[in-house]
Amino acid sequence: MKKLLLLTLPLILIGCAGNQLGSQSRVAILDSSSREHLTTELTMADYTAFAEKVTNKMLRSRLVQSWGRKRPKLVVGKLANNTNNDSIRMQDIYDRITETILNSGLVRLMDQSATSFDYVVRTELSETRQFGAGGAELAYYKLEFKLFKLDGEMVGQWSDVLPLGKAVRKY
Amino acid sequence: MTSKIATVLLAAYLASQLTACSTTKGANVKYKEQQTIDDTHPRATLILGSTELVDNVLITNVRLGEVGALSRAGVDVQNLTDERYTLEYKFVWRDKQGFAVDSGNMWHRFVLSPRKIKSFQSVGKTQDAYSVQFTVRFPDDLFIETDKQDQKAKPFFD
Repeated sequence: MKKLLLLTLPLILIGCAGNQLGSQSRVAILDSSSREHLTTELTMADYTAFAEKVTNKMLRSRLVQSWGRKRPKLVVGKLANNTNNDSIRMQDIYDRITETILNSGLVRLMDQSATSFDYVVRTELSETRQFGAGGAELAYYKLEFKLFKLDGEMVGQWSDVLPLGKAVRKY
Repeated sequence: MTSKIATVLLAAYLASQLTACSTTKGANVKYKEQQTIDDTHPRATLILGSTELVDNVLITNVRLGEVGALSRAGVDVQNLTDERYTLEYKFVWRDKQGFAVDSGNMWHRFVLSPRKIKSFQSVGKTQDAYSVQFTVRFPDDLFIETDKQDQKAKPFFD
């Protein structure tokens, strides 16, 4: 009886360990509108949040209100990446912005190759970054919209800032 | 006979005390709800996403207006305590039939220092946007939650 117990106990323990490993994948499906960060870099959720907040400011400006239902032709120019990170997916930010502006129905969105349009939006992403002891980090990202008429006159400017802070790890 | 009357009187007294207590409690709860959420605007639904925030954070001063062809909403959020709160908010726009439109809105993190009032605005980015739902809650973040669970499991690291 004792021998039987001695034989079965390790098997049970191995079996339990296997179950635990198999059931803990450590991967969770997140809410698509939540804002988790592992590092002080931008995520897809941040791109969408930037597009939401900057277009909020643009759409409630006096200029855009004055358009009413005229639906002027607008070109969203290429985004300038003035951060130190060349791997930021600027096309994704561009897509979020055009999606938001297009869905508003306030403008006719034209391709960058169009020859007839009323306004151009130039967009720029920039960052400042500070590093502290023990891995502490502070990053500020700024997305800026600048709206120009055909003759080059700037008629609107709107921006939003996203600060990301990484605290010192305690253990 | 005297003891019967005494028992009836005692029972009546106890019943009246219990009723009085429950009425007071109910009145308090109702009073608190009215104090921390201003639900008077017919086109706005305001939500405090945690019972801990009730009484401590006030959502008020709802404004809805037009900007050109679109709708705009604004709300004020006030910290009624001397605590520092890290919270997040989200606007959801609905059309006249109550269906969600403009679903690309995200949660936005903000800090409310003691007694501070912050104002937030959103534009319903489709012309169907009519009413707004505004929610304030503690951040729902996988990594914050994981850290909390780790600290519970390994308190000796503190």
